Amino acid sequence: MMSNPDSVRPTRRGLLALGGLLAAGCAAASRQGTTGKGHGDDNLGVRGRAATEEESASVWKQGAGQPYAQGAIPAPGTCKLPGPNAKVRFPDPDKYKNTTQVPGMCQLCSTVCGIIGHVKDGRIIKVEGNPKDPNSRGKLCARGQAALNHQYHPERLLYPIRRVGPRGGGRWRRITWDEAYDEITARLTTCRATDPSQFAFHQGRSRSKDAVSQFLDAFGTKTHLNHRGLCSAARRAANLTWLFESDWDLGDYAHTKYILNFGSNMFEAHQGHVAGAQRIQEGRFENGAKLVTFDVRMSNTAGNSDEFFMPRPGTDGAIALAMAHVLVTEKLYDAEFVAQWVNTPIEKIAADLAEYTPEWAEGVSTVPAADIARIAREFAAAAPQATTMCNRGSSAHLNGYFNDRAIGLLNVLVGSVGKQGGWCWMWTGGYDKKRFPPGPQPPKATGKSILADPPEFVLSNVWNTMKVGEIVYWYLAQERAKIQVYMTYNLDSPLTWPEMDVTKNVLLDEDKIGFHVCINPFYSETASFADMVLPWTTYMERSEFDARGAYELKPYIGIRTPMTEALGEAKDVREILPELARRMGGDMAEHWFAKASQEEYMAEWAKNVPYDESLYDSPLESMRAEGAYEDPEQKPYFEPYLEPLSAADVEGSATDPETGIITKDGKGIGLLHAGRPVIGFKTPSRRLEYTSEFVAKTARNEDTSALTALANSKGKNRPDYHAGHEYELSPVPIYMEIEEHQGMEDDQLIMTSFKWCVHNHGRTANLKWCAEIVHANPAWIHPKTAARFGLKTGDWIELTGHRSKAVDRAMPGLNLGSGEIENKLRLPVWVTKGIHPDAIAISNSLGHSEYTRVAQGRKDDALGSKSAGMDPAGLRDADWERNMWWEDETGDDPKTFRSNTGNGWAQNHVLPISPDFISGQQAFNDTVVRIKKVS
Amino acid sequence: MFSSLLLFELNAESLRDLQAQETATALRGLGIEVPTHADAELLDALASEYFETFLQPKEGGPPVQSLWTSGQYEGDAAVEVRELARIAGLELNRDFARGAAPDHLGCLLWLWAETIEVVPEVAEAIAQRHLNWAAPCLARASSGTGFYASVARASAALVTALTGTVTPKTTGETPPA
Repeated sequence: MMSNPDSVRPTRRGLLALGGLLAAGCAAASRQGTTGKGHGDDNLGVRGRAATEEESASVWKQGAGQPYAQGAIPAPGTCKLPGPNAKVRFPDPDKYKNTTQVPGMCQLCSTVCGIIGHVKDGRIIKVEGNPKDPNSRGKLCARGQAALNHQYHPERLLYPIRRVGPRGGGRWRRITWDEAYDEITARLTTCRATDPSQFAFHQGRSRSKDAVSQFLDAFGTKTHLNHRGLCSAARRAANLTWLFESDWDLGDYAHTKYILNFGSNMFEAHQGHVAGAQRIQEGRFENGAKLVTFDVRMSNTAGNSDEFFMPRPGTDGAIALAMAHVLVTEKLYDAEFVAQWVNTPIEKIAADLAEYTPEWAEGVSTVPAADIARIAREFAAAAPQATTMCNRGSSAHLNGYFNDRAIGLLNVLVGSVGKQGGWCWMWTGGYDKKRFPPGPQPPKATGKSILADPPEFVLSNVWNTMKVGEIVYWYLAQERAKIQVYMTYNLDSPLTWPEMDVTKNVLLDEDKIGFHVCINPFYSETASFADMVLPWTTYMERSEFDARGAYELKPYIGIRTPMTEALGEAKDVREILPELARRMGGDMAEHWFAKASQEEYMAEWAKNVPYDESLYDSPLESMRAEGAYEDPEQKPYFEPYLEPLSAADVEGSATDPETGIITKDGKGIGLLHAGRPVIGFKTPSRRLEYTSEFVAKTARNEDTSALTALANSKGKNRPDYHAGHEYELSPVPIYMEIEEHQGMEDDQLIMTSFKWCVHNHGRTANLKWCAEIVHANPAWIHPKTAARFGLKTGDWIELTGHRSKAVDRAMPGLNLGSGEIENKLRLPVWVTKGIHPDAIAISNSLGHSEYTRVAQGRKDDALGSKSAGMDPAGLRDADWERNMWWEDETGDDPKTFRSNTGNGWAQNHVLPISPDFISGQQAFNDTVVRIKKVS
Repeated sequence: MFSSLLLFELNAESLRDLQAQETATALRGLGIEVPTHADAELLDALASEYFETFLQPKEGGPPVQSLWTSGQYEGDAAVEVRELARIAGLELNRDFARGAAPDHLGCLLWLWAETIEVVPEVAEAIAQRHLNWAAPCLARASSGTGFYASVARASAALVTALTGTVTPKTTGETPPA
C-alpha cells in the first residue's frame, strides 16, 4: 500500500475527470434546489471588515498593557498580559453588532451563572453574563468568558469511539452511534438481569440530575456515584447537624455588616463564587461590612479582605471555639435568642467552652489571642448583621466536621441565624422542584449499593445521599464491590482523585470494571482508560433548567437552550440515556421513555413558569427569551423558624409541656414560641442543635427513630447497615486535634490545596485563555521554611506523602495503611510570605497527562503546522499555537527548567485516600509531606 | 473520491467499491494501493489508522481549515464555506458526512467537485481561499506508511494541483516568527 509521493502529480484536467467519483462518494449531501448560481450573491466573504489603522491604534493605546505595565510582580504561573505576541491590531469593529442573543447557563464550574451567547452566522462569537439571572446578575468569571475555548476547542470529541487493542493502550476507532448504543444496551441488559447494582453511573459534575436519576431509577441501580466526599461532605454534615433542613448556608452578604471568613476563597472559586463575591462587595461598599479572613494561604479573597490572618492548617475550629468562648464569657451573645432557639442551656455551653480560651487557640493556631478576642467582639457588635463564611479551607480536613460545627456556633451565639444580613439558608438548593417539577419520574431504585453507601461513614448518607467518592476505587481494589458497566460522565478521576495509581490501576483492570463507557466533550484522563467514549455536548448545545444556591434567598429557575447546533455527532445524556432505555425495551421503554422528545420534556417542565402572554406563546418560549425566572412575590427566606403554624396544622396536635415541641400523629410539626405555635427549626428539638443526640446515637448505631419522628424532615440512621462501625462522636462542637499534625519532624510540612480564579478542579486547564493566565503551579512555601531547607524561588523539591494513621485506626477494615505513598512528586517552589510556615500549598487543576494539548502545555509537534511552506503571517494561528509560549521543552528537568512554563503538577500523586469517618470528607488539606531539596 | 476517503472510514462495501478494477487502477495512478482483501481484521485496522490519521483530536487534529487558520472550530473559514455552499444551492448540515465541519478538507474537495462545472466561481473561491492551508496540514499524515498516509499524500498532491502551490517539505523546519 506504499507509494512514492514524488510520483503523484495529478493534473487539473485529470482531477476534473475524477469529479464524478468525488460527488458519488458523498451522496449523503442534501441539496437545496438545483445547482447553479444560487442566490446571485456577489459577496462570497464573511461579513465584517478589518479595523482601520487608526481604530486599531486607538484601541491599543487605551489598553496599553495596563495594569501589567505598572510593575506588579505576578504570582508564579501567571503571565504578564499581553503575552509575547501581543495583539496589536483589533479586527472587525462591527463583529459584535447584529448578533442573536441566546440566554443560557454556564457550566464551567458549579455556580452555573446565567449567560448570553451572541450568535452570528450560526456560531457563538461571544459569551457574557445574563443580567436577568437573579443570582449572578450579569457577572461572569474568567472561566465563563472562556466559553468559546470550550465550545470550539480544536480537540473536541465529535464522534463515538471504541478502543482497538488493550484498555489504556490509546488506540481507537470511530464507531456509529448505532454501534455504540447496541453494545451498551447489550451490556446493560445483561447487567440488569444479573445484578443491577453493578451498573455504576459516576458523575464528576452533573446538572442534569432529573435525566440521570430517571434512567438509574428505572434501571434499578443505586450505584450513582459522585464527588461529594472530595468536595463538601464535612461542611454539609455540620450544617445538617445544626439545621436538618439544609446542608448549605447562604450568608446574606449583601446586607451584612461583618463577614467572618474561615478559609473560603469566594473571590476565586466557590460553589457560589460569582453570586457570592459580588454580594460580599456590595455588603462592603454599600453597607460598610467588614471582611475578616482566616486562611493558611493568601488567596485573592484573603488578600482583598479588611483583615487577614494565617492560622496553622486545620485549626479553624480552635479559633472559632475561642471566639465563642469570648462571646460567652464576656456576655456578648444574644441571650434571648440562645435561650429560645438553642437546644442547650447557655450554662452548659459556657462550661463546654471554658477550656477554649483565646490564649489556648493562639497556641494551636498561631493567630494572636488578642486578635481572636477583638474580632469576636466586633462580630457580636455587628450582629445580627453578621455571618460566617466557610468552605473547603475549614472543612476539607479530618476535623472538618467539627471545625464547621464550631464556626456555625458563632452565628448561633450572636443570634444572626436566619436574619437579614446574617447566616441564612434555603429549603431548596436553587429552584423549587415542587413548583417546577420535571416530567414524571420513576420511583427511587431500591436495593443496596456498597459503593454509593459505604457503611464505615457515620453521617455520609444520613440526611442526604452524600456518598464517599474517594473510596470508590479503593473498594474496587479491595474487591468489596465489582462493576459490570461503568458509565463515567464529566468525570476526571485519574487526575483529581487521591492516589492516582489506585485509580488508574482499577480503571485498567477488566476484572474490576467489566466495561467502561466515558461521556465527555474532551479526551480526558478518564477517557484514556475507557472502552468506549461518547462525545458529550457542551452546555451551549443542550436543553435543561437549572439553578444554584440563591443568594437572594429566593428560588429561581434558569435555562440552558442550544445556542447552536452540536458539533459533529455530540449528544447530551438527555438524548443518550432515553435512547438506551428504548433499546433495552421492556418496562424501561414502556413506562418511562416511551415518548417525550426533548422539546416535549422541556415544555412539560416549564409549564408552571408564569409568563407574559402578550409577549410569548408559552412558558418555554418565555424562558428561552428571558433566560431565568424569579417570582417577584417570593419573600426571602428570613427567619423561617418564626413562620406560624396554621390552624389546620394545630388542630389535633399535642404540645409537650416541658419542651414546647408540637407533634401531630407522633411527628414533630413545630414549637410553642412566646405562646405562639411556630414551625421552629426542622430538627428533633425544633431548635438549633448545639447538642445533637441524633449524631451521637447514629455514631453508636443506636435507634434514633424517635428523634427522626420529631424532626420530621431529614435524618434517618440505619444501625443494622452500619453494624460493626461504631464510634464515639461528640454531640457538641469540640476541637478535634489532627494527630498527624502534632510533633512533625523538621523536614515535614502540611500540604494544602487551592484553586485559582481561572480554573476549576480538573476541567478548565484545556481552555486556552485560562491556561495562558495560569498554567504552572509551583509549591508555595514560607521564607522561614525555605531558609530551613536552603531553598529559593525556582529551586526544586521532592515530596513524599503519608497516609493517615488516624484514618487507618478509625477504619481498620479499609486496610488503607498509614505509611508513605510510593509515588513522589517533584516540582519547583515559590517562596512567599503568603503561606503559613508549617504549610506547603499546591493548587489543583493542573498537571494533566491528557485533556488536550493546551492542558498538557505542549504545542503541536514539528510535523504539520511547523512545516515549511506555511505563511506564518497569514495561515498559522497566532493565538492558538504560536502564542502557546509556556511549553516546557525541558521535560521538568530542574537544571534547565524555565519558570512559568509547563503545564503544572498534580498533588494527587502524593495525596492519600483520606476520608474522615464522620462524613467521608476527603482531607485534602491535611497531608503530611516530607520535603527534600532536589540538588 | 478523496473527499469520501477523507471523511469516512472504509467499510466492507466502500472497500469493495474501491477494489473495482477501474477505481483501483485510477487510485494506483495517484499512489494509493487499495487492499485486495476485506476481512474484519483489516477493516478494524484501517478504521484505527483512519482515526489516527484524520480524526483523533490530538496531534494536529482533523484536516479542518478553521483549526489551522483560527485555532478552533467554526472560524471564519467555516462560515464562508457554508455561504459558498448556499450560493451553490448545497447545504453542509449536520447530516452531511456525519456532521463534519464545513471546512473539513473532505467537504471542501466535495464542494469543489460539485461546483467546478456548474458554479465555477464557487469552485474557484474554494481553490483560492480554502485549500492553501491543507498541504502543510497533510504533511504529518503523509509521513506514515499505511493506506491513509498514501491517501494523505495523494490529497496533498491534489490540493497542490488545485491551488497551484508547491507541496511543502516535511522537514520540521520552523518558519520565521
